[in-house]
Amino acid sequence: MTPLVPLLSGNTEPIALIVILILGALVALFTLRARGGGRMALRPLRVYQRLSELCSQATESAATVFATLGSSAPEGSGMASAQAALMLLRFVGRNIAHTGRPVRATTCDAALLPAAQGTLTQAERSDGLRHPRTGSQISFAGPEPLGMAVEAECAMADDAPLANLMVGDVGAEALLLTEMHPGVIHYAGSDDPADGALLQIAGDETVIGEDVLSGGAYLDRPMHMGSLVAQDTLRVVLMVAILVGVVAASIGLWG
Amino acid sequence: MRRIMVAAFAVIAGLLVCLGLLLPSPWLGRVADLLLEGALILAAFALLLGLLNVLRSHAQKAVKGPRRGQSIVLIVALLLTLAIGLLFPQSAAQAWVFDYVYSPIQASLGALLAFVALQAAFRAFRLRTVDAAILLVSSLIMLFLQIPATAALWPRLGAVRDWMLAVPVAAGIRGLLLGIALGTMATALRVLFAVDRPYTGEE
Repeated sequence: MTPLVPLLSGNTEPIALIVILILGALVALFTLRARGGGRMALRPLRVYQRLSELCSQATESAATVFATLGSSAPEGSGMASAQAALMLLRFVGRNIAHTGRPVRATTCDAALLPAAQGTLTQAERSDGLRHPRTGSQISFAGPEPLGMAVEAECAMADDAPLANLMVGDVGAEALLLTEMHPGVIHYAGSDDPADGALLQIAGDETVIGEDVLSGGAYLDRPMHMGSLVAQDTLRVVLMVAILVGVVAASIGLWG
Repeated sequence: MRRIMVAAFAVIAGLLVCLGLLLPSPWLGRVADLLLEGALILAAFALLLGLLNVLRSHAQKAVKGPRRGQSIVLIVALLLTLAIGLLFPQSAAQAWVFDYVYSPIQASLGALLAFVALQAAFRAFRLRTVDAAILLVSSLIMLFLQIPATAALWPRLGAVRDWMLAVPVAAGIRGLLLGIALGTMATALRVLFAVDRPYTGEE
């Protein structure tokens, strides 16, 4: 069996491996604590509180909700963003399926389409819907965000939804939707800094950066609290490392 | 049982790809490449599924939707472009479709975004929130510093602009990216540890 240390000395990414191992250990540790019912505090994020209220509002008014899922591929570098989009879709789908008004969605990533269809069908089943829809309410709008925005715009003009959830890599094209349908409540989330700046001014409720990826912990997945605490712990470690590095480099001890 | 097997396969495949990318083992690398190629092939088939989804959804709308005309135009354009691509691949006809139909339409719609962004910003400024105020002040400062004429007022403004981009702006973006990277890794680890099982569709 090859020992680990010589493996790290070759053509490897040792720092990446060490960071992944540390984070993996922290995620495992804190997830087990979360499973055991350990108390962990969360700072309030308004967008997720409002999302729960949205489901109640949609139930009372029997209004539909639209989701613009963006171009994040579940098998590519946008995997986390795609997961966040599916998480929100599942939450809303599960909470308003019984109203009989389906969540409608559009995406411009072909691989995200079957994933979203499966997620929504499962969410409707878990809401007690005996015959969940087959996912036909989710459409693919071609591989360009602009096409997706046009498709979403038409669907929103026809259905007059209560809200529009824009999560994932929706791009600047999301602005077309917010400005053409000001009467709709636009929930926007992006982990792309450039998109985030635009969505911050355009969306009614916006979540940017890593907060997009922490939706599960806030909504209906308490197990995600573990990974959230692990992230924060590693962030503190990295901040200290950066500060130490800056001081060391400034006084000439390193670099 | 089926779900356990699917989860086990996903976890093993994920671990192999992760280790194949990080460790210099030739056989791990080959296995990782094989699995990644498989994912790419599946993604290509997903595009075919997407094409069928577009056709089905717009065929239904063309029969009884409020925008029948638009759906008919879309289906005809899609089939025509597909036929040109299949019958005359890499041809001048195919390039013509992209250069003189697709690109101008996309550019026209894209050009609208500048006005839409301005309208959105104006709406945000009218709300008079702290976020909008910060955005307004920082936008004005950057706009002022980017205009070539300002360099004539004070030659060192260029250096101020470069410092602002290199220090406060870069620091803010790097902080954001650090958090996103940690969040992405945590999401991937949740899938690897089967805390999240998107492949089985279960909660």
